[in-house]
Amino acid sequence: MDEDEHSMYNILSKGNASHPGYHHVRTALDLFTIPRQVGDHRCLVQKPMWDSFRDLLNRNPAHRFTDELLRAGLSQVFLALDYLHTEANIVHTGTAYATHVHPQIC
Amino acid sequence: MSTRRSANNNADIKADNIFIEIEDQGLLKAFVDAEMSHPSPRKVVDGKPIYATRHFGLPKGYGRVVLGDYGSVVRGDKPQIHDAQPDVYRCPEVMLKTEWGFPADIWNVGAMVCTVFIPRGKRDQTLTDVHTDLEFIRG
Repeated sequence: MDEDEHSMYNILSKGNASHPGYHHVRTALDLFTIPRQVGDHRCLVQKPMWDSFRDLLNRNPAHRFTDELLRAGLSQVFLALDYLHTEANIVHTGTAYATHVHPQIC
Repeated sequence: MSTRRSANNNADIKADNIFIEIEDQGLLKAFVDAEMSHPSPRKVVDGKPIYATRHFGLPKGYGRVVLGDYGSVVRGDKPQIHDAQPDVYRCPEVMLKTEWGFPADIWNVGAMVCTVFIPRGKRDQTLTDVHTDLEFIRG
């Protein structure tokens, strides 16, 4: 985890908890740093989760979501995105291929 | 248990980065009990143990859906123009090398829906078709 992601979790955890999307964004229970000579090691403590959507997909022999599951899942994903967009002012889908971008969190 | 990063480390909105919370606390007890009675296989590399992943069982009910992995976020109040998103998940703005912002996330949700809902075997083709069209537009 790099410094930007570390500070991102800090901001998300302290955001507006009354927003309906707040509880659909994975936050950090704790963040700490282990100092090392070769560079500090940033650590993140989070609640354990059950499956990811990918795991859930793989559990299903048909390998696809039902209408009901997709509908329930999507409405919660959109709540999370609304929180990120309107409260944290960030785009989630970011810099996978970028090498020169340093997000500044406001 | 979701302690690993996705293999290719792209932190986009995709099936790997959306998690379901543990509502049924019995899952945790069952997990611990199973580990106590049948410890996970492990190997020792350079003096450090590496454990095989143990999966949770099926819950009595699903918990909340949460979005995770913030390794690729960018601020949304100024348009971005750099290359972003992997291959077929790229939104038209990125494909066409124009400015992009918040709507890129919504496009990504659509691509994620393709992976979980379109019947297997048609998924890649669906996404590829869209991008063939976009590449044609780009010229």
